[in-house]
Amino acid sequence: MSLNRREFIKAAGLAGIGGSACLLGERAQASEARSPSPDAMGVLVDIPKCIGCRRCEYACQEAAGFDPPPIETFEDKSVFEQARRPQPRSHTVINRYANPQDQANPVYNKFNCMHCVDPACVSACLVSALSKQEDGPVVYDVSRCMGCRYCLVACPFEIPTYDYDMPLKPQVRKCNLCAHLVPEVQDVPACVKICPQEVLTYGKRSELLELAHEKIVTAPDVYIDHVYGEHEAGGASWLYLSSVPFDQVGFKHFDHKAPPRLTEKIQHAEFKYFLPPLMWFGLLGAAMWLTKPESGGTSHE
Amino acid sequence: MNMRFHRGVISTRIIIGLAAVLVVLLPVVAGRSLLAQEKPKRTEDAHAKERQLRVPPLAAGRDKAALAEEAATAQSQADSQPAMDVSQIDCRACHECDNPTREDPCLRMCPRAMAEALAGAAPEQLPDDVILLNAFEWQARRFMPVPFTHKLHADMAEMTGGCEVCHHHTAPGGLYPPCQTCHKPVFLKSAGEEMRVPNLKGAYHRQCMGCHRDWSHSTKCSICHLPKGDQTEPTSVESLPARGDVAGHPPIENPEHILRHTTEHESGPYVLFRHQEHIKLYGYDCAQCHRGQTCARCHESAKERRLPTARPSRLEQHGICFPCHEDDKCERCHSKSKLPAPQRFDHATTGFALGKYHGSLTCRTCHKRLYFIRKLQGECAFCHTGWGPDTFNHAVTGQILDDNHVETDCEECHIDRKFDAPPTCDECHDEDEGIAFPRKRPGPVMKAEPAAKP
Amino acid sequence: MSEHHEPLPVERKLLTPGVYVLLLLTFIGVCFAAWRFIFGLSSVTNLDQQHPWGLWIAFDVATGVALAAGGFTAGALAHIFHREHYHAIVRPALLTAMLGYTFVGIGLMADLGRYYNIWHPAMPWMWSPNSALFEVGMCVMLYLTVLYLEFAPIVCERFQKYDKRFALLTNLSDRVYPILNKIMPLLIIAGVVLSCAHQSSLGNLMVLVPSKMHPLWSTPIMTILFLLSAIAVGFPMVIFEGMYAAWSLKLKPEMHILSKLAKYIPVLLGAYLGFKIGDMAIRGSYVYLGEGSTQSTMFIIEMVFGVIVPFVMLLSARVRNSPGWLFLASLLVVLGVALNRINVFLVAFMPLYPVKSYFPAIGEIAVTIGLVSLLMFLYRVVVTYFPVITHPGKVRAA
Repeated sequence: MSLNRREFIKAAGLAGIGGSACLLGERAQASEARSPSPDAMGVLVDIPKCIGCRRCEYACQEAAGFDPPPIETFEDKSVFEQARRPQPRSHTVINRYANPQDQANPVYNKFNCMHCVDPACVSACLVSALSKQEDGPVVYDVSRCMGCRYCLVACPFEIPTYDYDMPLKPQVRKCNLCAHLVPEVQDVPACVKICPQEVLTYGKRSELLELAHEKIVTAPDVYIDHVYGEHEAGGASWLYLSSVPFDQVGFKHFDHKAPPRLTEKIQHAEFKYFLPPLMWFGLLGAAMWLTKPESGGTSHE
Repeated sequence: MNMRFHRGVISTRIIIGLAAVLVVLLPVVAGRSLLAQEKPKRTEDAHAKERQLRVPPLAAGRDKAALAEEAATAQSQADSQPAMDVSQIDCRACHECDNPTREDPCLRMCPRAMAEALAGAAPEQLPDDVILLNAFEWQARRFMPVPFTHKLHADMAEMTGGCEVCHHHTAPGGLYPPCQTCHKPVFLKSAGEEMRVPNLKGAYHRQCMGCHRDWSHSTKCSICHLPKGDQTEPTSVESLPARGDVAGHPPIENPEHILRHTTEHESGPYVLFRHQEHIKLYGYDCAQCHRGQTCARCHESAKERRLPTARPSRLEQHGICFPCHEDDKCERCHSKSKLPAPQRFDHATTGFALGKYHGSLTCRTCHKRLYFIRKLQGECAFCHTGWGPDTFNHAVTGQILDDNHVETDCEECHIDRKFDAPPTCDECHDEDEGIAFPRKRPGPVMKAEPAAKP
Repeated sequence: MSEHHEPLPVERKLLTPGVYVLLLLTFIGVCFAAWRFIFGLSSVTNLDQQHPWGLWIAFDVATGVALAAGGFTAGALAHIFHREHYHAIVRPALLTAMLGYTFVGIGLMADLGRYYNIWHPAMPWMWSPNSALFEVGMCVMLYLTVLYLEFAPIVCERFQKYDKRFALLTNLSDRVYPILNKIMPLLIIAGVVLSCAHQSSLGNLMVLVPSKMHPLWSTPIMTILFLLSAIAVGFPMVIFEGMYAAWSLKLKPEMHILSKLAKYIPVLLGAYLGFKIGDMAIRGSYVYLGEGSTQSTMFIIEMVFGVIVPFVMLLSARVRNSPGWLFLASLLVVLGVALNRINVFLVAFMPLYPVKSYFPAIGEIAVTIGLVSLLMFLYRVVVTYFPVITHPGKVRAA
């Protein structure tokens, strides 16, 4: 009986040592407040300017290291018959939508990783294989990945894709804002560079936001007064301007609060500095000790 | 008379033009050789940058219809045409108005020398033709330079709002700054002001696609860009391969007939013009009659602006028909009433009735040499080759050859195989024999056939 | 309290016809699993980019974890709160939990694309404390260790008392047994804390994706609901597997214990039901009940047959004292919670850009059935050779 109590104190001490606990607490703390970094880069998409040439799809495949088919094959407009989603080998896709203002000229929208300010995938990943860089990109480290695909589940924009057909070395595939290319080689993402219409503008997110609102003010007849990605799901590095409501070009409505804020709050409430579990441990130990009947020992004795 | 006057002008122009070309060429050639000396100093790295920054070369203007002859004489100099910077030429140097069009170029009435001094080049070389767009390394790796026809687009600009549609942020007319002043041909990491101004590639495409998309509903790259393949970079417009699917104009429906009404010609106010016949039978292209007409003439937005302008002058109207109809009397086209219509053209009136075989041909099948249909100068042999005594049944001409002539070579009677000229008997028969065509023939003549030429 | 029945190995023939069926099902599952490991997930599963998680996560992992909750609830009841009366059920519950969690691990291995990296969450440089899944992973790993340690004395007992053929093992057991017994209270408490932690974190997984969840299930208190339902399903699971095992091994079910145990169920289930209804009322999600969709139907089935009906049934002493009715009521709770997990992870999960809908492929179902069969077979093997089940009638000296 006394042994039990001694053991108990020892254990509490052991758990208290918890260098792990400190580490956990520190890491959890660091990720609590997420506002866009001032240096974060992003891309502004001027949807009305897109002509659906799909050059970006080609450039993306090339930059991602896949061997894309000849560039001429990307002129095939029949792929627009149905809305497409990113695939393991095409991290960005262009989709066509009817233009209510001008039947003859449909609108095109580009889908790829939004590089959220507070990414759900990063919060979801249990081995830190996904991380948000200070300069904007959400990048993936395959060497850590277990292939659990929680990031696919978590992404509100349904962007990451997975090599389901690979038995040994499957990967999560998504746009990484060309972060893998050395800045000297590629000073802007491949899709931004190739875009003939310059639909895409690469720059600091803060400046892009300014620019976006400026465009809305100067051309209120062209743009609807909404920058998609400014607040959606906590904000994203990719910002979109459109002439038609965003729900007509394949975008969904999201709360302004980033989804990880709630889950991380709950998670940290459960494990703040490892104290709640220790507290439970103590409480249960106390209960065990207090309810212990005077006669007999435990069954194991 | 008008024509003769026109030709006179042209020949004078040729002389002045040639002189001007020489004057302009000298400094340009000198400048080029200087550049050529500078080039080797640049490092390999700088070479790529230099390609990007290169000013788009300008192919000097040569309107094929008006200046064909001049071009032929200047052929030897064609390869060394000066690369001119369009931006250095003030549009107002020659044009009085802000938006010159092909129909109304509003040219200044000024001495040629002054125009040259203003423009720095002979008017023929001014930016009315093709500009090669080739400012990007990336593009140069994949595509041929894009030939941009300035004059054609200037015409079309009339449909969408004039020169300032492209030459934006600038007052109309005057000296337009080159696009590269603001739109950089390199792709820099953008920040601040650079974000707000598209780079040159973006600027070009946004300008072009705005209209190309609206008018052709196509965004195919190959409309402007030819893939490069293994070919070397062409240096001039002429050396560019033909583009397979250049955005052509959709077919224009041919009107069946046009009934025109004129009050000036009292004796015959009504003109019936057989449009279909001129197109289908005589084989004229639209542009052979509708010369110098612009897009704006038909397209709605510009039509409204055009309506108040004067009708074409009498000379202009007749000028189109004259080349063929110069010998005809007024009554050929003009009639007092709407009916009866003027007679359809009968080929028999030329002395050669079209039989069952030739009747099914179009005029252009035989009369192919000139725009305007003239008497054939021995072109029969274009089709009728390889005829000889063994292969040709002379009877089809109506003239049956007797035994003495049946094996005679064609050339014995038809000198130089000119079958449209009357045959001669002199080659074999002396004059004193009294044998001469058509008095004495080489055999019986078939009655039913009219006098026909072989 | 003064008397305990001694747990003993069940001396029954191992290879009965039923066991052969289990082995056949296991073999089929293994074949499909092998296919998956050779040709990749897409060759066996119906997973796609929009449905990254399928039956294996919803059932093998989430449901597996929930249904293994009997281990810690029974342990807490008997050892922490010293309801000594229930000692007889602790070992079978422990065995179920141990096997259950082992199979959660094996099922997860099949689902993970890079299963050989399954140890990564344990490496401090890869820790990701913001992730609910990290917490689940860590706790499952730790708890699995705890479970094996908790079970170790039972293994020792075999070599100490029933099988002395291997002197070395007997020796080892003699040495290890006292140490294990000393730390046992710690292990038991750790087991309870770890269980509570990851049962609730499992509920937090889907809180991250409110946009893809059907509103009937999408609630921020999913953690609490998962924990409460796990605690509520603990005793029904113990009753269910105890009675099923007894039937299968042709033993007499220990109704005197199970009936008493069943008294706790309405309390726990009632708490869960209360939270569930309160959540629905506060969020106003009841408007979706009449939607007529698959989701609303499944929710109604889950709540009515999985929670309300057994809750009402177990309020009655007649049901609690009748083996047949008790079994049925427990089974309903077990199925209800299992359905809840499947609903949360599969039915309520509605991708924003679906290409096609998801239904488990034959291969996925076969692997799952194979795993359950293997689990049942191993359960039988263990109770045959190790002192797990307490036989009525044999009295242990106090």
